[in-house]
Amino acid sequence: MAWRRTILGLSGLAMGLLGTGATLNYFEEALPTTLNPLFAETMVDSRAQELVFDRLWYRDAITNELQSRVVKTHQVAEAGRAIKITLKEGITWHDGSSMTSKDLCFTVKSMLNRGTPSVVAAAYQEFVAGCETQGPSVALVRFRKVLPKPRERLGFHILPASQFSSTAISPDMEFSARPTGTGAYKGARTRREVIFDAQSNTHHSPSLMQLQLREGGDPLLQIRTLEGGEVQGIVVVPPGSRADLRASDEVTLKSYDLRSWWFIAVNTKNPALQDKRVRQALNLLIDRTELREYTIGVKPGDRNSPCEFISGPFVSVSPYYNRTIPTVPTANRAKADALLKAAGLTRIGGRWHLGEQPITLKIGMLANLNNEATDLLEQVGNQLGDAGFDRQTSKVSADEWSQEVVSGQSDFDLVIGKWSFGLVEAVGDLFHTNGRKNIFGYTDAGVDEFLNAYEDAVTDTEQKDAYHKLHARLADELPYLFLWKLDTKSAWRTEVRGNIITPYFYFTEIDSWKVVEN
Amino acid sequence: MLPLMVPAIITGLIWALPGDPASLICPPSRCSGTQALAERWNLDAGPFQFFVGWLRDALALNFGRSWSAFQGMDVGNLLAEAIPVSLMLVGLASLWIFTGVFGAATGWIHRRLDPLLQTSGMIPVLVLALVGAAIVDLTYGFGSSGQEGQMARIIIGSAVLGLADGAFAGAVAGTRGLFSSESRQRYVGVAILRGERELANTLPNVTPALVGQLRARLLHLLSGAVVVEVMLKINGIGDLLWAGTLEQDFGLVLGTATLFAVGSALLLVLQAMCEVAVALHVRRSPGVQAA
Amino acid sequence: MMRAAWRGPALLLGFVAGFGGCGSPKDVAGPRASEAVIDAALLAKAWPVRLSSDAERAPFEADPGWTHIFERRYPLALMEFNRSGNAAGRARVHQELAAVYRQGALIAANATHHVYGADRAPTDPLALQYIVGVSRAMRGDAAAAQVALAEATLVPAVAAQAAAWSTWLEGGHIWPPDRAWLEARTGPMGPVDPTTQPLLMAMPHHQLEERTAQGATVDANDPTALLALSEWHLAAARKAAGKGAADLPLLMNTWRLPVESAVTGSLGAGADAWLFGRGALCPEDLSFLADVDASGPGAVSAWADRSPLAAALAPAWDGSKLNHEKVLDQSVLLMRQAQVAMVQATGGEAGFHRPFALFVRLGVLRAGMQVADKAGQYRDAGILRLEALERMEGGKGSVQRDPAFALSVAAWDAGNRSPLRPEDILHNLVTDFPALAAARTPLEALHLRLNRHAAPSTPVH
Repeated sequence: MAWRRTILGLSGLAMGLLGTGATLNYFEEALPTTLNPLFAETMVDSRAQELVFDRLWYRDAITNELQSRVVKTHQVAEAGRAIKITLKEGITWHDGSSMTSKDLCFTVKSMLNRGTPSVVAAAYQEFVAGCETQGPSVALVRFRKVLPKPRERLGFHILPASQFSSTAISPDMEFSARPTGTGAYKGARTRREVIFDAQSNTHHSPSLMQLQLREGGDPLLQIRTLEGGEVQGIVVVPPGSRADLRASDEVTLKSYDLRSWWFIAVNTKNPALQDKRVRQALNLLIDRTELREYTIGVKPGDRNSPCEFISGPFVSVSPYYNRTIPTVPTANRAKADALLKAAGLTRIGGRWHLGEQPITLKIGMLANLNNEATDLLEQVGNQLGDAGFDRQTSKVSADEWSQEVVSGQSDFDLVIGKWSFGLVEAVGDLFHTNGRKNIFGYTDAGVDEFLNAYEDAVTDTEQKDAYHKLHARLADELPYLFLWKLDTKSAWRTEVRGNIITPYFYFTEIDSWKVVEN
Repeated sequence: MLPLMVPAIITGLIWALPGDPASLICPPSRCSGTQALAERWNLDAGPFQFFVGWLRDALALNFGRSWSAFQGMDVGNLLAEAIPVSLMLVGLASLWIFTGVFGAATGWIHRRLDPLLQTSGMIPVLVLALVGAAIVDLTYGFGSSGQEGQMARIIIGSAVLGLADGAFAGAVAGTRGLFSSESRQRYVGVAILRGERELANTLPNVTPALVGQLRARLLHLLSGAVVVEVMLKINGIGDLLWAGTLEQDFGLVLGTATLFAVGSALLLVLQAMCEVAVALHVRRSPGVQAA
Repeated sequence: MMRAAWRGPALLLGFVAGFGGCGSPKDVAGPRASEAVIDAALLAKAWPVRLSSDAERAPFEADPGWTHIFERRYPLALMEFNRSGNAAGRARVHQELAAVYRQGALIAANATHHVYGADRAPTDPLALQYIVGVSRAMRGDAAAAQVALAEATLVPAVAAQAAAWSTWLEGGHIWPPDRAWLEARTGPMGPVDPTTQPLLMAMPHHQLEERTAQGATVDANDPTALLALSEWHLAAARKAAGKGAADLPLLMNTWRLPVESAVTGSLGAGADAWLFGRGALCPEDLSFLADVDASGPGAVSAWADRSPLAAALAPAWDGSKLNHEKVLDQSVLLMRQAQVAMVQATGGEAGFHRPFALFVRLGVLRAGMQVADKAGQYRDAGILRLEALERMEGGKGSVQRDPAFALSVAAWDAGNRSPLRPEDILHNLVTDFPALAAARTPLEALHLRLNRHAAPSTPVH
């Protein structure tokens, strides 16, 4: 079209040069909120940080073998209460300085520093006691208790001491946007993208010279751009597009092992929602089968569905999932109405009222979930609207989600979101009264009891039992309406070879990725 | 005064919001170093100290770092990258305004086109911006955020800004109105009978009003630029302001809002200088010789 | 006047018009021409190419049971074969089920070995050592099995079972134990009848108490039950196959337990019933794969003139190492060559060409996986294994996931102490194969145990 050529011609004036080596462009769910691994809030953060930093120990994506790119030798010390680590020599930071034991101990100390406002670090504070250097390459990491398998516990990213003036690391430091790591790539965040430039090192030899990460946006546009070859990959492919991509010869669908489940969190501080009978009624008003069909495209009876309903805070394949608790696949309006009446709500003119006041539910949804479940927010709103609740709906950006919703500062009544986990499915932070990600500040003595029992458990069976009881309790109390788990798939063009995707962390094996013209 | 008043008002708003500013950014429920952050950001000793500290740094062109929207990025650098973009956007958009003024003044844009222009000017900037965004995304795909895509966005954005909400149509109509009412003055008729040109006689007298109109239209463009930048994802100041406001990134909001205030103040100064120049020109113009 | 009227807008438009276009979205590549990866005559032996002929395919299309085999719905397939009286089909169903449960037993064995063997905790119920013993025996470590069984004989609940296994192992018998002997351990499964399915043991097989103050209950399932199931189905397959029963050892070779010996040989006549919907494309492929197991990766060169899969792998094999990236390429190229051959055979494209051709690709990947394993390239074999698993995915123009192969990947993962993917695989299959729940128990126990020692993580959105 003439207008298109015109625009192309004009904008060609300002064309920049890409690197002369192979560049990999890919769409992500959103831009990372930070490149500092201490402050990772989203899966996008985790994936991006994996390119820039090395973890002390990691698991091979294929053989699951515990490995390290930075540790030369290790030795359990002090009868299991410490581990002596000798780092490999010759590893440099992106600024050219050498990585030493000082950096390792700095990382440990910054995680232990209460002035570092990091949820990630808080998890390590529970068992790491300290670190001391014993030479330029040797560090002794101490624990608060005997750890039978210390290497498996030490999966944190190493930070450079030289980039900080103290061990109190703040999320607003420049490091969050332009970090220095020892990973295969140096990352730099701009307003619309993140550019990763390859860095040669003794322990990394990436084939791709540059990676460019951009926010995906409209799913159809993403697919078209992928098929057209302008972008090489999409990290999270919407379910509706998977069948067509699977049939394509130019694109390969790949599994991304991630344990994710979707939910509608309920603001139990709202007077209308304080009574659990109301929450139970809402649970019965949500028709999950319809939601799944209209928003994800999975029809009842579909084989090998990527989307499976859940009744609690774990995916159904998890050993922590209590299989005696049934899901609620379809709505039951009569039962829901009975519960609402029993809770003291009245129906006037077809709308539910609490006392004299009609109930209006403010419903929010993490915006990028719309790519995977199109119009989910509207569908949920419609279902609740049909059931007699007025509602206002709005989408929430990833940053706003982290800043306001997760921190309990939003004024929503219901929020639709997704939590992702790796091997460890610890949900304490979500439901404990003191949980750092307790969205609406939900509190329940029974739930706290089971979560504490999990933490205090002597054996893994006791832990499982505690979580089974937790599941049963939460399925009754319903601070969340549990929706489903949805498998995650990525799509990469066939020119991208050796693209091994590590469960959860994704880019651990980035060194083997390359672009080869077919 | 404007560049001082705006950050002062924003500082007041920060303290007026419920909760303390540091815990807005770093809630204690998920952040254990709220006090340390408050000290870092000079939020621990009241609004006056914060404002004075910020002003002192701002005068040294140090606007601190983004607290949340672009966590870790230097606000000064963000502004420095955004200013030329916004200038280009508003500059290109203002070409539409100037063209409208020029065309109406010289008669190059005929009256008969006025109904068409008025109709096209009724399209809201939001609608045109959405259309523009769709065009760029569909045309460029992944490259829509790259340099080429950004340039396309700026060009389309300038057209949107210059045409939507009656910007161009208003410039034409406003200029035409000014000149036509001035043309009805007796002295103009006399000048025409003397063989002088109408424009040469009316222009000095309408210039102050024209400059005033232009200033208003440019301010209108500036405010519209925020919407256009957000809708078209242009990396300008307006988009920064929007992102900062949404995420309560006060460091960013202070910098960008102050910049807008400075821009507006500069326009006021420019208008005043134009008016002075016109007045001087009128004063120095030769008197009419008696017949 | 008109010109003057339009001059303004024209100037404006002229500002933005007039530049030539430069740059445009990359053209999407058209279909690629197929290069001959292997000799056409060799490829013609492959069942996907042979069955592209209507006449060859007719017997399979006539019986809905084969459609169910293709879709991996074995119970439905058995129902249809019973209706049609298709003995070969019944034999095939039971052979596939035997493979499924044998892999299930391996998952249980691998997971148990890690969680209650290598990662044993002092609080674990002592009776679990019986299951550890059985698992180690299945994994081929008889000595370690005896150690565990000896401990288990001290626990009354499992003493008899442990003693029986111990005695059997000491007897130097050839694996597997006799079906009757297995049923004596697990309980009767009913008479072997190819038209039916066996009775299943109620689960959990054992409920044990941890050695703690709380005494939490540990559910445990005996992998013997899964082996017994496998043997039952194998017996049913033999009964149904009649003379074709001689083919069963070769067919089950891929699915044997680590303790079982490799088998070589070749298929008899009428092999299509065994081959249809399988990654091995012709009888020679099965013989080649068995030879790889028996004599090593050098079999690639030996069979390259007879087996399509060997011929496809030959360019990737340099005599000592397999180039796994070449194998990936060869799998795609051979698939395309097969598609072209099918089009030539049928005179045009047909809907079944793509799913049939996918079996060619899967065959190359799985054969490459086996060769890499034998060449000691564990990681490369893993890459090919996971690629094959990815490629078989239900959906438009694809093939259903082969349960036996998926379970073999799960067993491999369990052997690597990686529980997440096997949990997903088992979860997807347990509805169709309820007895596999026996394998889920130790797998979940492994997950729980690894969880306690894993690096901390927090939920993210």
